[in-house]
Amino acid sequence: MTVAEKIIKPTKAGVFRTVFLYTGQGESTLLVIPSGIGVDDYKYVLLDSDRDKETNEIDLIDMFKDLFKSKGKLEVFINTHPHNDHIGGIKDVYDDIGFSEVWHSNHQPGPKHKDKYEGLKYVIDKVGKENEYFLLGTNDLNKVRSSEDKEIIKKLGNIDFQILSPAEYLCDEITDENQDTRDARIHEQCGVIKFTYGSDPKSIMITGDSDKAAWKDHITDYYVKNLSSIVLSASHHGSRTFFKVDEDDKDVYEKHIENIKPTYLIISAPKQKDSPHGHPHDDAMELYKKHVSEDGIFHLGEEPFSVIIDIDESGLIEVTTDKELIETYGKGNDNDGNNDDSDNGKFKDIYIGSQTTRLDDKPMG
Amino acid sequence: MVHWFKRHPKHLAIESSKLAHSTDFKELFQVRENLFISHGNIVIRLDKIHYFPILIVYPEATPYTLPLIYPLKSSLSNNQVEELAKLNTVDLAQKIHPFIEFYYNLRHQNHSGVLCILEWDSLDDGSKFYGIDSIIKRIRDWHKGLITGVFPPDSQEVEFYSHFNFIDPQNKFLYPDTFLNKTILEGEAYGVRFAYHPKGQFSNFERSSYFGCLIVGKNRSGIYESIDFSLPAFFFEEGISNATDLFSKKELLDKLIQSRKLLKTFWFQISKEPNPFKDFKSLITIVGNGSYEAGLKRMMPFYLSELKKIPKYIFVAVRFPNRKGIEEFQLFIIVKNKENSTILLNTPDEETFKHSVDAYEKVYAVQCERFSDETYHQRNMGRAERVILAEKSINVVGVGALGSEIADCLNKAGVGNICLFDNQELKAHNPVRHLAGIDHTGFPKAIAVADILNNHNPFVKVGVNCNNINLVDLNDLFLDGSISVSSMADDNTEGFLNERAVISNKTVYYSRALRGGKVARIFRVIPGRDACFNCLSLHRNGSPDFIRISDDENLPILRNECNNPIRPASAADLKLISSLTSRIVLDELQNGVSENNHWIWSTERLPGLEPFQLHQQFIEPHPTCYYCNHEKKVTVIIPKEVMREMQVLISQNNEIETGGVLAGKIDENGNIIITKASGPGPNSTKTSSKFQKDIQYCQKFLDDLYIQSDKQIAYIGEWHSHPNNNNNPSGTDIKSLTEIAYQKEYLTDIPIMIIFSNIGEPSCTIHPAGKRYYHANLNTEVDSLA
Repeated sequence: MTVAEKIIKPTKAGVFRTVFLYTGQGESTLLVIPSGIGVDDYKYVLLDSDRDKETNEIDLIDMFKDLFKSKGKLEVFINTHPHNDHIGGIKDVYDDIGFSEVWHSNHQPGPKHKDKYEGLKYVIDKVGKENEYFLLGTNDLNKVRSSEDKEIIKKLGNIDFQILSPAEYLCDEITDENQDTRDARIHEQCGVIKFTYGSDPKSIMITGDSDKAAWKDHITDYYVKNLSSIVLSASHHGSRTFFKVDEDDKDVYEKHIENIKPTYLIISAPKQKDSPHGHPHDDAMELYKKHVSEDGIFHLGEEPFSVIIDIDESGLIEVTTDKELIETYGKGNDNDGNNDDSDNGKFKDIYIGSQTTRLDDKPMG
Repeated sequence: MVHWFKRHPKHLAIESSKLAHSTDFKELFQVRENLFISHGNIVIRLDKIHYFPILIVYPEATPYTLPLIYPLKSSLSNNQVEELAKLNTVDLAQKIHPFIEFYYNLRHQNHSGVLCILEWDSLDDGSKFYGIDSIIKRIRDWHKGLITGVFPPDSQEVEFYSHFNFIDPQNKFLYPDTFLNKTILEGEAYGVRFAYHPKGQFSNFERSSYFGCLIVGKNRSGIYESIDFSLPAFFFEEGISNATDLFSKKELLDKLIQSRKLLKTFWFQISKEPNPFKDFKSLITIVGNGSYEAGLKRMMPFYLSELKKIPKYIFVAVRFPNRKGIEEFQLFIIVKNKENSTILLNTPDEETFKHSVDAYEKVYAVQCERFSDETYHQRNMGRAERVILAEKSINVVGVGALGSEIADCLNKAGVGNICLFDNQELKAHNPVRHLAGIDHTGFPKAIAVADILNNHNPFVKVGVNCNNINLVDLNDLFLDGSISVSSMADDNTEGFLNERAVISNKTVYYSRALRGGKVARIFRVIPGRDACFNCLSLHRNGSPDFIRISDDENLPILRNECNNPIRPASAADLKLISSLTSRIVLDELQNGVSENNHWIWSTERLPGLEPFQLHQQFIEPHPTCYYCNHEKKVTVIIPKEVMREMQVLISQNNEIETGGVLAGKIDENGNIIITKASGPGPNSTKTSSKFQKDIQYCQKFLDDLYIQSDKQIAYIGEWHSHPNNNNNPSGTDIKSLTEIAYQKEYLTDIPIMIIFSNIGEPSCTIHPAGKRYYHANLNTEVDSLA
């Protein structure tokens, strides 16, 4: 049995498993969706893709090759928005592993993301129009739009999903629009999806890079009754943009998280010092800690680790962490758990003190 | 003592970091003092986040052993943790005890409170070190079971009783397979005490071991049945000869129970293995298959009269199929709760019973183990095959330092019958090299060793003979088909043994320690095949094959009990020689005799010998040995007609022995011709194990023939049948024929004997006076003498 099979495949039927894979600066989440009564009855869905060359980042292709060594296949790729750290490497995943459907937010990014966006366009083209679907906010469960922009109900195995965003598609080209403005507009219309499972239902909220404007203007008020989720995937790698326009914004928005009421928060970001954008932002972390207990917050880059969420048929949820996927499929591992002097906060003194020599005043003559 | 973390600083660093960074264990304090310990919470993230405080203590054997994990009732302060770290593991275990959370109903917590949830050794991979990561994961999964009720699967079966927090240290209970008889469902069970050890230097309390000797109970139709039992060999009590005596002699029974020589319990069949539990109420509920009331009702008829008196403790047993589906019998002691013990009078039985039951609370699991021939010998499998060895009989001649240990090895291997021969008593100075201890001083050695053999393997039948073997005929003593191992190391006595054994065609192994135990000489004598004891004495002078071992003159000469000079030797050498001898004997018993018959072991370099190597060789019988070199192969001719006469007699009743005398003559080539065989005669004795001819009848038969044949046809020998398929001569047969060969009245010094199996298959042996007997060629193809 390969490590991927051991960690990712449920050992019994009827478990909805979500694996937040460690990918450094970016996001890749694997949904393992129950689709029948057998122990092998599972659909595999990749939600965003980030494959570049960051330390410890799990190599999706190596991992999938091992995962599907004897059984199973990747069926769907869902993209929240077409930015590099959410679509990276998807062409290679398609070529080496393959999948048959693409669901996406139907935006066109700015020139910075052009290369990787070409990759997304390549796989969309490959799967064909009939297997391409658009995300669009709706109050209905399991509703997507066809590539001809028609509403259709489409089940994902035995779970339910609800698309909360985007509210509209950004396909226009504004000639003098700069990169940052366009990025911000896409974040305002980023895909947001809630996945739900269990007879006592539990939900996981996937937020992509959706920002304050997205929630304040398009999501919270429209879907306020449907927001509650025990697991929240922190938007934009723990960026403050979830709460504020920028660092100086005094008008902090918290209504969304007050209604989501998460017990668990997953932040897909490297260690803060390794993030080009300083993710997760300190002020955002402070805000998150107001709403989620410290032991419910998982910052993937901290150790690093991946987070696995299991929801069973009864709705019993279990959250665990895993390092084996990183140890096996991570790139350039330096994960010896040692000489780590970064952000371990209050534990740092304890363990250094326990590990090193303690001196006393032995006289010498 | 250098602390483990000074020897393994890297391991400390890794463990320390991992403890500080684990997502499943939120560390609060980590202290390195005399001990390295960590305290924090196991974090379990389900619908909400659950916390379980634990203490992790790294013992001195880290990293070769796993850290100790104590589940706690609540978190400790930094000060408390620092104080704990100053202690050693033993003192810490005491200090932490009041803070430990005990999960009485769960497996995998020792009575010390430590969780035992990881195996850490594998036969295949050898030992490997587990990091704290995998340990924490396992602890997390176990604690998760506390919330969800689903525990990680056990990877290895552990005895049921060992999951209890309270295990009775004083009593052990072994039970035979008959205790698992499925026809009965509830009833009484008895165990006899086979060992009692008072408090001692190494034990803080007395200990008793019991062996299940009788089980009775109701079957499905409510009818009482007792299961057929033979009492264990180690149980001896005046007035008790079998298990039914125990049950029927009420007064004696009560006396035995009172003196704790006998243990009595009631027992109940339940449907499945219960979870461990803490108190009597839970046990009653288990007996009631989930209902406390049903349990009370089921137990009352059995326990009412006993519990009315509210004794200090009572025994209760349950029987169930364990998680592997194998039936188990488990005994508990339930102890009286001091505060509540008034005796009720004049109240209805049910009320009295409920009241009495309330006087008991704490339950101790008694260590129970199924004990059968099969399970007992399991660990010998492949090296000592009980199935083969159970059929064998061995005489251990001389049970001194070597003989006692050889007997013990053979006994533990499961040889079916062992007979011990020794006429000396154990002196207080013997145990320094002997199997028996000082407590057996003054016992005949054979009896002392028999005691110990019985204790080491109750499934072996041990016989004892304390005679001087120089004064008895060994054929009287040695079981038919037995082989012997001699370690007497006395040339004269072994010379005599050799003579008797060679004449009787018995195999003997001789084992001797030489040069203070530094050298051993072990040899086998299969008469006619191997050099016998006498042959070797002849070989000693002149044969290049014979390795002579001279005495070590540097060792002092001591005197033994018989004032004979001996050299000292230590148990380290003698046990090794005993084991070596035993291994050679066991191999030959199991695999057939080897081509070698002479083995010399040496721990020092001597001419022809390398240190710590076994020299093996084959030494042939000596050409001039009186005992060995006498075979002149003669043919015995029996005409078909004579043969038929004998076979007809056998076929008339092949379940008892029959026989008669043989008459004939010796031809010019020395061949023996049987011309006539007599019948048994009307006054003969014919049983399944014995035949005695009618002397008058046979005498007349011979006398008449002698006259009729003109003094040509005379007595040649004897014939008889065995009521089984064995047509080899028995000890009695050999003894009689040997006597015939010697006795002047018989007028022959080479009597022959023909023995038939129960299907009429003959064997013919020739018994020359003073030499070993041998099988003759038998010619039965001649039609008649005419």
